[in-house]
Amino acid sequence: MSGTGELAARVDAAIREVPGVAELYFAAPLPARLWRVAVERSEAYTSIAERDGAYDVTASIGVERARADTVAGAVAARVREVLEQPEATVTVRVSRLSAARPARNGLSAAEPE
Amino acid sequence: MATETIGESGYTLEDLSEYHDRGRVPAVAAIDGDPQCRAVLDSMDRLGALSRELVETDAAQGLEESWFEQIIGEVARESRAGRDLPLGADDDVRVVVTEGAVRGLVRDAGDAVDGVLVERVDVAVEEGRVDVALTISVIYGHALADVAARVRAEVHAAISESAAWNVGEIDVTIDALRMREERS
Repeated sequence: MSGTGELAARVDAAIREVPGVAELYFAAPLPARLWRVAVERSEAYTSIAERDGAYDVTASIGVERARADTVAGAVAARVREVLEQPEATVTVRVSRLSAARPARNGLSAAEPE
Repeated sequence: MATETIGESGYTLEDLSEYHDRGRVPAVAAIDGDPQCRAVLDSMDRLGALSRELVETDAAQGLEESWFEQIIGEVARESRAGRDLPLGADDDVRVVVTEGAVRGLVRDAGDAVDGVLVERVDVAVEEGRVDVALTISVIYGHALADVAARVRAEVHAAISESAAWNVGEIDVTIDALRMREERS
């Protein structure tokens, strides 16, 4: 795995630790992902590009039972910590949102007996 | 079923259906790591539970497979990422939520109301204001005005608790009544 791929894996792990993050999704489009798997041997969810020593990071997350803006802001801060690069450009995309309350749909609540 | 692929997964709705039917094993990262696929799979879970319950109560008669396919198709449409809606930004940090995520939030909130199955969701977000239109089915026996009011309240709470948005209009259309027999 390349240095960027290893870094992306570490960023993935750090993002998962942020309260309110329920899921991580692939941030890069399919062709870019396939290229990274083939060339960089990286299957990380977060996309990291390095240009002239500066990182450009995109993370795609699902947020559950928390405010999306608060969680996404915390994710961006955590990413910069892991990168040890306060000036890194970070995009956090909230791709799924789940409400704070548990589902109680009477149509689907019953389990088969 | 449509042959177009779902999200960035490279898999079709039919592929997802087969994946769902085999219990999502072996795991396919391209599916599990795609938010649109996950929304569709969650919807298949919900509809699967619904159909089992209706079969148990002999209430499934009159329900057509096309109805389930229609709802799955709606979920696939709604969960498309769409535009990135800004949640905040400074010079080097950009925080966005996808339109698909907002539609999914609204659908989940509507489905959470007892006796309701959301059929279609439309959401418009402009300059921090969220307007919503839902079409729902209701189980026979629930007061329709009360159900609509509860759906509006759930959707309002879900949106306002998820980000600093202003909730605009929430239009609820009830287009079908479904029968469900009481269990003994």
